[in-house]
Formats: sequence, C-alpha cells, structure tokens
Amino acid sequence: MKRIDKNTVIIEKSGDMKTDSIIFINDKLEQFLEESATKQISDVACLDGIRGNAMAMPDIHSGYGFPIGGVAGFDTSNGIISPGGVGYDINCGVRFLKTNLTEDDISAEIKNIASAIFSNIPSGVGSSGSISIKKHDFISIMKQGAHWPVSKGMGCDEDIDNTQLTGRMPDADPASVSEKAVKRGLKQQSTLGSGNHFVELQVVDSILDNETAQKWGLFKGQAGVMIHTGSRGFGHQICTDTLKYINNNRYGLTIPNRQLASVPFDSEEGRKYFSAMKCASNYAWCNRQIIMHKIRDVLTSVLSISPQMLGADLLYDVSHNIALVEEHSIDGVKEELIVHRKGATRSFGPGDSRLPPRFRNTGQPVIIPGDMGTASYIMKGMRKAMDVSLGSTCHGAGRIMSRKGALKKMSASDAVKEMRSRNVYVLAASNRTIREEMPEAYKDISDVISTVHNAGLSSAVARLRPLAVIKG
Amino acid sequence: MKNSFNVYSTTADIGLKVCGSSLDEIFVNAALGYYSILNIPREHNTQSDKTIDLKAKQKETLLVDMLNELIYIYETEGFIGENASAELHCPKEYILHMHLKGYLCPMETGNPDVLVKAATYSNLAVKEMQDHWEANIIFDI
Repeated sequence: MKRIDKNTVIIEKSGDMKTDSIIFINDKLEQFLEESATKQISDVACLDGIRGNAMAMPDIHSGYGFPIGGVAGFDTSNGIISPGGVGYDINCGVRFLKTNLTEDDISAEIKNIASAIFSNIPSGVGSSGSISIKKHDFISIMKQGAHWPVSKGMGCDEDIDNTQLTGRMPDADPASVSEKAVKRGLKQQSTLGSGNHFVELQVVDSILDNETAQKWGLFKGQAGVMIHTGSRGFGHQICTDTLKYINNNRYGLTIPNRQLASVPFDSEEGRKYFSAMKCASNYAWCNRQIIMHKIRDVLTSVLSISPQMLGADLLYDVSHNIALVEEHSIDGVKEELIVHRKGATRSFGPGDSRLPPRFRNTGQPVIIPGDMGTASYIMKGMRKAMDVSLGSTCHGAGRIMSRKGALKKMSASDAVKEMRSRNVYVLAASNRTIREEMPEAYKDISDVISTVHNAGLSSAVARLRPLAVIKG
Repeated sequence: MKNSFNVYSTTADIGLKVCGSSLDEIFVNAALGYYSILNIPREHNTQSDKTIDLKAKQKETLLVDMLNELIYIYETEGFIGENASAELHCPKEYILHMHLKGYLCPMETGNPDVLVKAATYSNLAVKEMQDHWEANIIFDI
C-alpha cells in the first residue's frame, strides 16, 4: 500500500486482483485502518467484470464481503452482482427534514418532542410496526416504495421529488422475495430498529457554503430532524436467502471469500437478487417516509403549530447500502455499470442530468450522519467524484471501538451524564445502546468530512449539532 | 472450553467460538450460544419446542443455515431455546435433525440484549481437533 497524495492511498494490482484498489484516507485516519478491511477492498478488486478501481471511503472498516465504505462498479453485460457489496441492511439510508423553526423556538420543548417521537415510533431490538400492514399492502410497498405511504396521505409529492430515485426502484418483482422475508418484514415496517439507527433532533450549527445553503433553504440556527434506518429484518432475510442460493458458484467466478459470493448480473440468479434488492430498497424508503410523516405530526402536536408554520420539508433522502445501474465514464468511454455502494453515498456533482432540476446547478445533497454526541454534515456532490469515485463519497464516521469495548469503557449513568454535558438529550430503548453508541466508539467525523472534501468527492455545506437523540 | 461457547466482540459485530466433543455438540452449543447473546430471561413464558431439519453439502454451510433458521424463528415466533439435541448424518451431504425445548417470548416483549440479524460466512470455521471439535461464527447485529 502506498500513499499517492494527502487523501489517497493505493494498493496496486497483484495476484488475482483485476485492478488497483484505492482508499480515500488521510494520515490521521490511516492509523485506524484495519488490515482485514484492507484485505477486503483488495478482494473486491478480484471480482469479475470490475471496471475502474475498487474503492473505499475514509469511514472504511471491516464488513462482510465488501468493507464498510466500499464502492465498485461492474460491467452489466459481463460483470457480477454481489449481496456482499450491498450489505445485509439493504437501502439503509438517511434523510434530513428541515423546518422553519430555530433552536430557540423549540428549546423549551426538546424533551417533550423527543419523548413523543420515542412513544410514536417503535424503536429498539424487539419493536414491531405502529401501523397495521396487511399482506396486500406489503406487496404494494415492495413495488411502490415511498410512493405507497404518500398515496395513503402520509406525505406529499415534494417528499417523493426529494428522495433518491424518487423513493422507488422500478420493476421490483415480489415473486423474487421469499415467504420468510415477507413474514420477517411484515411486522417491522415503520420501525426504527436498533444499533446505530436513530432519529435526531438537530440544529444547523454552522453554514460552510453560503450560496448552496441558501439555495437549499438552510440557515444557521435552523432546527431539523435526521432519520437513519433501513429495511430491517426484511433486507437481512433477502441477503441471507440469496447467499444460500448463490454459494455453489456454478458460474466458476473468482470469489476470494464466501461473503463475496457473486453471480453474473445478467443471469437468472443475478436478476432475481437485483429484483429482491429493489423490493427491500422500496421497503426501506417506505419505512423512512412513514417515520418522517409521524415526526411531522409529533412536531405540530407538541409545538401546537400548523404544518405551514412548521414548514417541515424534506431536504433529501440518500441510500448508503445499494447497487444501482448507472452510466459512468471509464477511461473516457461511457459504460453502463452496476455500481455497488456499501456504506457509501451517491455524490453526483453539478450538471448531472440525472439529478432533479433544483439540484442540477449545485450537485445533489449528501447527508452524512456522525456520532450521536458530536455533529452530522450536509454536503453536496462534486464533479470530481464522477471522475475518481464513480460519483460516491463517505456515509458516516465509521466505528473504531467494539461494542463490548464501549460497554467496558462507560457505565449507563456515565454515558447519560456525558451526553448531558454535551447538551444532548438521549432516549433509548435500552441503556446498553447508549453505551455502545458513545462518540468515543467512532472516528472523528470532522476527519472523515475533511478527507472527502479535500479529495473532491463531496463538499461541506452545513454542520449540524445534535439536540436530542432517539435510539433503538 | 470443551462442550461450551464463548461470545466475543468484533469492531462492529459479535462472534461466537464453540467447542464440543463431537460435531453434533458443535451444533447444539452454537444454538445455545446464539440464545445466550439474546439473553432473554425466562419469566412466565409459554413452554414450547421446535424441530429443525436441514441439509447442506458442507458442515460450515449447515451451521450458518441452522443459526439463520433460529434467527428467523425467533424474529417471527419469539421462540427461545433452552435445551437442544442434534443428530447429524453424512451419507452424501450433511443432514441435521435438531430438537429444541424452550419457551415463547415475542420480540415485542422480550427485549433481547442484542438483536442478532444474521449468521455470516465471515471467518467461518468448523474444525476437528485432536480430541474435540471447534467452530467460529460471526453474527451481523
């Protein structure tokens, strides 16, 4: 591995690698780089039909198959698709809801808002959905994604416009999904889940790009809500099912380890997984849409204001665990690729015709959640990302401490005290989650942001500070 | 560590090292190890039992399949195993017949310590040692 510049290292092609691997990482973050994660991104470079480099973002850490933070594109006609390049939590993603209110407007009600969100949105390891979903609804959700709740009055057309791919991947065929996955997903729709998933009440702490912030309706002191969750047990079951039926490697592909089990994208199994992945992606967009709708109701109810006064508009919703068919330029020639982003965010820059008109001049919003005690960021996609990272950037801070390590380090009361000292009110289904998710368990988000900013993958627009955190 | 299991942490997830005097015991101890991670105390829950029949070409695959089956049964039925017995045969492929006795505690009320979402193939190993068997599994949580 050798350093190319301040923000990039390269692992040159060797052995079975078909291309180089690139890690976007600065000196400071390199000290946290695990050998296992480096091996994983080298393994990705061995996969059949890879085009361009195998890449990892600065929040890289060891995952299953691809490392978390891994990005790779494969030729759609002779390349592979791999569930290990998408992850178990298919279409895990994040959205930011901006309001007309300021921190001062809500400061007296922060605890009440957090409590009401906690009561209204099922969270935690054993949660089941707060709305009743019947099997025929479930089929509609698999096909329609965020369009389903909006058609039922849970949201508006602008929400759809402000969601990546409008919150629906077309041609999702429910027949590609097992009964087991449906049974597992049925009760978990419109739930937050556990682990690093959250709802955060936040304030825009500083504006880092005035022009873009103004265009996007962001201002210093503005209150907003960030939602981070995915496809729950439904996505996990689809990944588990797929790994089972593709692990015989009947196509004789290069598969460096079993978590990287792959099939040709253009094969019966490839089409089946891609369709099931679309169903799970649509499920996740529906999940985040319903949760956001409930939060809007909570805010108007607790603050006793009208929706117009609240002005809770969705800035954008991005996925960070997904595979998408996209056109990219490789060695100056446009090619259709199946781009896998696992713990990485799409970051299309200004001028890209695939973006909605209102983001075409600025580049797309990129939402990067940090740890629960420090900060999160709104960034914008950059043109350079189209040239060097298949239009991709980081997805978060990246874990550095094991959950057990975090539990050993801090008692529940110390954890709550520390969060209080940071002026962050925390509500969680279990104290264990608060201890496991303490800021010390993650890399410094500002190092990750400065790396992708300096590498030209995405550019910081605003920094968000947490006011209250609702965890599973 | 004979006839036992040991839960350990990875950076983001949880691993399970399992030991047993036979391959059958590896499957039993892996199942009990999984339930120990959930750590759902039995209170006044309904007694229940489950039978699982699975087959796979490799013992490692069979172990992952069994654990993913237990994860699915817990998430959809709330079944928690307390005791298990396993019979393994390998005429052409590995065939598992497992019987579990335990209780029902639905996810909504059980509040497990950790929700295990999937058993993975990452660092998966099932090995016969000189006088015992060992296995390693990593769970996505």
